[in-house]
Amino acid sequence: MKEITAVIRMEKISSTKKALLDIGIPGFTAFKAEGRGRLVTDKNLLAKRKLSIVSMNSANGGSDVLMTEFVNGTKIFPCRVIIVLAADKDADKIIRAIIGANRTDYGIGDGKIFVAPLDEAIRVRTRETGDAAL
Amino acid sequence: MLMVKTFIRPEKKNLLLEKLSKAGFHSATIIDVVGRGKQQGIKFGERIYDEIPKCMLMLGIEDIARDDVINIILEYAKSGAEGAFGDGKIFISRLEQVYTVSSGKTGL
Repeated sequence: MKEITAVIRMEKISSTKKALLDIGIPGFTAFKAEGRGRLVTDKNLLAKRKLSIVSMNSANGGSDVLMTEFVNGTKIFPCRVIIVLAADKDADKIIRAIIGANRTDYGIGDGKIFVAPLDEAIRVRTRETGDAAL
Repeated sequence: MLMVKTFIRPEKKNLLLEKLSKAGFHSATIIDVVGRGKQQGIKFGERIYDEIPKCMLMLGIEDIARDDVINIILEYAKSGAEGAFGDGKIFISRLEQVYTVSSGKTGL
């Protein structure tokens, strides 16, 4: 069995839910978190994101702080974490569904998926173990 | 690859994130949690507080960075020179694979 932990954009939760439901995986755990990713060194990408941040913030004049935080990487963004427990054979399907539902055109900040081995799962109600408990 | 989950004092969060970033471990996921440890909470007179606020950091790292990350957390999450009850714990587990959503590539 596998434990798939995905860190995704805040607003992508409903499309992820739908994508998982479409492949027949209705159950998962989700919570809100905050975090940051790898430092972005690509100049073109930075310039593009800078422009959009400026256009979003030109009205309230708060863009300077946002931009410095964004460029030096200290900004911490809100995100969501979802944990899906899956049988070995479903893992690939789930990962592909999550990637499909969460990819955007921004090129950065779409999130990460961590796949870890899971030793045991037990359904409390019936005491089933293993794949049957998922 | 390894997943490091560390439970630290909330007031140590910013310092630790800064030091980790300087050492090249910039990415992190941060979650506010409550919990209790081996000391069974904090007791004030009759009242026992066993839901103590902590901060959980999740870091995905390469195997080779393991000791570096542990040393940084041990150094900067500790309170005072001696450390105190409630400074937290570090849990490390194995990761089979990591995917980046935007590119679909595997690896950290």
